[in-house]
Amino acid sequence: MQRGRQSDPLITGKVAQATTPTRDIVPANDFAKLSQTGAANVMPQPRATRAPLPRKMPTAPIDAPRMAELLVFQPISNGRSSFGHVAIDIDGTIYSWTPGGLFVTTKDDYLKKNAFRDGTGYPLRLTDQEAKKLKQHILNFGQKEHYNFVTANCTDPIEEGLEALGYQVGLTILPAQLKAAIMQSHLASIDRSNDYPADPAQKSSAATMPWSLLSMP
Amino acid sequence: MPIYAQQTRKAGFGKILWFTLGLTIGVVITLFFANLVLRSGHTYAEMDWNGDGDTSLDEMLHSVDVGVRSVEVSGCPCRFFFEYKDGRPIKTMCDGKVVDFDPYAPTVGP
Repeated sequence: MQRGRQSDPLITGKVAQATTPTRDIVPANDFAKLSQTGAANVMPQPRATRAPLPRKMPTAPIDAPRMAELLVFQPISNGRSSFGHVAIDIDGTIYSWTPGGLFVTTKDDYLKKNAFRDGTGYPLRLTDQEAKKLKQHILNFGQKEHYNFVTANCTDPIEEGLEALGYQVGLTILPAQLKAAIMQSHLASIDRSNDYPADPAQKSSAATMPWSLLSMP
Repeated sequence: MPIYAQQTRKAGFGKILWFTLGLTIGVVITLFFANLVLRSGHTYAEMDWNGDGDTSLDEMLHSVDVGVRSVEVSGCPCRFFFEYKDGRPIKTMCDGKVVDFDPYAPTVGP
């Protein structure tokens, strides 16, 4: 045992002597100085860093009429709607992804049917071409997907459509998260929002759950 | 006491512990969903959302996503049920019977 310790190069320091480069081989720089003391062996090497992807900014003029509007509705009751709901209006037609599939109707009809809760609309800064592509993506999503409360809920067709257009919306599960992501992407702004208040005669009195605070519009 | 007897007793105790834990979790989850369904305020007959004459467990659980509003049909007080998710009408019931009534239908003028 004692003999082993004496012959161990890590203990006797023979490794540092054996691997110490001479100035004839290694150029005289800071790294060479460190190498002489053996410190280079334990210094953290610089990692190859990945450059962040450039964030796509909206190209539509800020004051141009907006063809698409994101509708965010307040949470209600204690089921799937207790985190709120999100739908999108593209050129006067609403596309709403629900457990029953993709619900397509006119904006007037949709707002009449959803007058039991408050909603807010955020006009999206998309070009007409982008809005048409988004609509097509949502229609395709409705044909191939099945509703799932977590993996394919009401935010997913809109989120994936915007990602397909090149906007980095990120992973959003709750309607409030999608709204925040759209704000961060400069696709919408608070000061250009539209209120769709509930009809007092129809407003639901169903109590919301504590977790609904996560998704207040 | 022989060693094998002690080991057998320990193994039996572990099984009882896991069984009790599983049973407790199952009861808590069942009570949670039962509470949600009861709080929805719908009667057993009303929860027959597909109108097949029978109320299944799925339909009971679906009750948490269904809203209700009082409406008047031909002067009679009725209950109109709709989906919370998108506001789509499900049915209207007057005196326990389903009637053909759409509150969103455009009203025809005189």
